[in-house]
Amino acid sequence: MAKPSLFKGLLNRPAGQITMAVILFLALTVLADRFLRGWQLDLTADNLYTLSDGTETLLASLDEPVVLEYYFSRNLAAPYGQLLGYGKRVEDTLRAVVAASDGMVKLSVIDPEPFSEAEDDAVAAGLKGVPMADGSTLYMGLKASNSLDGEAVIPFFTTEREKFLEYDLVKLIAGFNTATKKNLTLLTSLPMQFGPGGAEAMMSGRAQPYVLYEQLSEFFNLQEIAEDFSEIPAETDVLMVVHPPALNDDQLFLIDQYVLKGGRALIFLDPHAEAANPRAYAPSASTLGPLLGAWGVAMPEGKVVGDAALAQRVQMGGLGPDSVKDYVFWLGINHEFMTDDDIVTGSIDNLNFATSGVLEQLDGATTQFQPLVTTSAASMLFDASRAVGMPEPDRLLKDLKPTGISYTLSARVSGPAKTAFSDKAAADAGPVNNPSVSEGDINIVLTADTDIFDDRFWVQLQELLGQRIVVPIAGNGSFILNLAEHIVGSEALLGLRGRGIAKRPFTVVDSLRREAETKYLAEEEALQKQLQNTEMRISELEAQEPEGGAILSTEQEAEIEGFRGQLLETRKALREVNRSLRAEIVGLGKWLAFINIALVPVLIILIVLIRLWLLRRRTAE
Amino acid sequence: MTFHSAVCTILRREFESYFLSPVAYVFLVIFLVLEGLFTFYIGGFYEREQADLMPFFAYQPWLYLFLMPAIGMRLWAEERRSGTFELLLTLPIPLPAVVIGKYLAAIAFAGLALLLTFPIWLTVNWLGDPDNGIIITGYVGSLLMASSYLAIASALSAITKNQVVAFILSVTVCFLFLVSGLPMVLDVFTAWAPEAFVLAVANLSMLSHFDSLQKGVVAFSDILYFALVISLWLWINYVVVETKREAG
Repeated sequence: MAKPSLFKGLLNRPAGQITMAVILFLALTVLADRFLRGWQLDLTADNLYTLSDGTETLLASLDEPVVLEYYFSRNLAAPYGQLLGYGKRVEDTLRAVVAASDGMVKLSVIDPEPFSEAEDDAVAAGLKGVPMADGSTLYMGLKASNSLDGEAVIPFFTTEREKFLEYDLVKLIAGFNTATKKNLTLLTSLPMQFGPGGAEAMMSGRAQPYVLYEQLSEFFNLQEIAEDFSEIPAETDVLMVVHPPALNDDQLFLIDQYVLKGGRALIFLDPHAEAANPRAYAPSASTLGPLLGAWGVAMPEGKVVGDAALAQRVQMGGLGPDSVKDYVFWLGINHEFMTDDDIVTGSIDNLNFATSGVLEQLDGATTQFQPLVTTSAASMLFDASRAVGMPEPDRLLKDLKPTGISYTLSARVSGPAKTAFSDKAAADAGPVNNPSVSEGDINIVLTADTDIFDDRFWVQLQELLGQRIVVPIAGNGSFILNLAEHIVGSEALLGLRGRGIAKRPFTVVDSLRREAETKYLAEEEALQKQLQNTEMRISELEAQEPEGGAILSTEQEAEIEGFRGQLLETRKALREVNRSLRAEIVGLGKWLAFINIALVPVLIILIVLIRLWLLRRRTAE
Repeated sequence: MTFHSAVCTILRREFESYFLSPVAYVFLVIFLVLEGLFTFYIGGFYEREQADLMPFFAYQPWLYLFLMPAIGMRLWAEERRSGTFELLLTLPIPLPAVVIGKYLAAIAFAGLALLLTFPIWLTVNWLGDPDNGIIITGYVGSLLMASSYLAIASALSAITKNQVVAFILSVTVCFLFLVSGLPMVLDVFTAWAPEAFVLAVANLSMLSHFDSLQKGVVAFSDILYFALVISLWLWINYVVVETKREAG
């Protein structure tokens, strides 16, 4: 019985008690980290760290079992806190997915140790690893497969997409349900499939499709129809028309009939598509001829909308704070200007539009017109020609006289409509099984901008380990995918896409900046003009220099000198204006810094002084 | 006297004693000024133009590394130096109540300091539309981290009469807890210790547990971690004081 007494003796000594406590502490922290990580309270506004209802619905509806293999080099990641933490978070989310799937998703977590079979499997699956200093490779990727030989991988979980983790996982799993994929027919003149270089880029291997084109291909059986199409594929579930080429009457009639017969369509037109040709000197407009009128909607021709309150700040040549301007044609639209109760826009925080047109309901229209996205009341219509070439942001802002109208940029149009080609409908009866109709209930969504598809307006692209990492900065992709899925009636991922793209700017600073710019713009412009005049006058005088190098007359010299002085004065005044532009914002920053650094300490010092004074008075008494 | 009322008595006595000397005020002023400077000038709070408190919380682990031991160093060392230690232990109050009461007073003081940073919360809400859920969890994490440092400082203050020694020891141990997940610490173990042990040490890092709280997630495992750190050091504190008492 020596052992128990030894143990007892150990526990009676302080050192023994402390040692036991430390061991217990270490054990409990490890166990808590292993088994209790899933228990958490998510206090983020978007519930970023909790599986959404859409995910749970989708997981519960899986009809084929899915096997997930999560490769995570936990030991190699241990010294890198952020990576280890993220790796654990991925594992937790995967476990939550398994729990919500009712046994349809199976998970195995594998630590692919260097030079092991597991590492070979990871490489064979197409996972990418980060090479470490000691020659080993760190993996943090996922392989998913199902019994129908379907296989998909996430090569490496990058922290850049942390906010979209749930979405990426659900998308991967949902991708196996190919049988339920709907058919999307696309008609466009934009280089969506090959990126800005078009087909030439594809030939030289530089093709980089629009991110949205890739995403549409993932969620739909995407079929693109050529510009000279003569029929709309019969199996089309949703027709997407994006900046269409000029269409002839027969082609327009096909679209007319498709829509009137209840076909779902998403139409994106534009008074000027910047993505079509960024260096264009004339607006690149698209139209659907008489169709819009027949649907009870108008899109004013050759007009783009400018909005002073939603203008994005853009870099216009040069560097430094002066080169960043409000550009009223590029709109950063926040949630306030989207219909809150529409499921498509409900989860989206911001959208970026560029040189957008506007939609108006026609008087006496039989269709219903429900705006989805609008401008603020500080907007007005400009000629589209002002958006091409080298637009001057300052001049546009100055010319903008708010009309007080909130223009509609995107709207649902539904209800009874008549054909735009009544003669054609009557004459061309169509095949027996598909006769032409002259009226019907339509269900479409119209949007007056096509630049929302362009990558540069809504995503940041990065390369990591050969992967193209897409980090959305606006909800354009979510908006379009949501529209397409909602209009064909499948909505599982709708709420999930928009989560986590919320930008939280300093609205007070933004409005201060706008006020300052409006205030000083006229002054700056006048000074710029004066500067140009003075410079011109000096060069004129200098050009009058007599031939043969004779000396200028004293009057001329004095005049030049006078103008030079004026030039310096004007430059100084201009600098002053530019400084004033930023002064209020910088001043506010200094005030806030002062309040946060010194206000409470100063109050504390005052309290101490008052207490001391009271104490001294009491002692004196 | 019940355990609860004993704790309250000690807490009140200790908390009031902070404000008997100007040191507490000096501490509050230094803490608030440093916090403001770090947030605005090093963290670039205003220039980032993002309505969140990321720059405010980012430097707190390092700021607390020195400020919390400064609060905690006097808890026991001062009693031992001034000779009130023995007197305190002869009072009809259970020792655990004294340990907890003193510790809670230190937390109350640190909490007050944290509370006085409220202008930054008002500022960020005035400037934009922050996610206040994330800010709340950030503050909870910050208080838990401060409490953990204070538990360490309290225990180490009990082993010496010299406050400076207590301060240096506390800073050292807190530093180890802070950086235990970093390569420079783990490299010491990777060569000889089993992987499970290395992972356990990596898991000790206060930075990673504070990190998820800053993101808006209150994970039970993180809360438990801080609770365990606090319990361990309060236990050590108790054992040390008990030993000193027995030694007379």
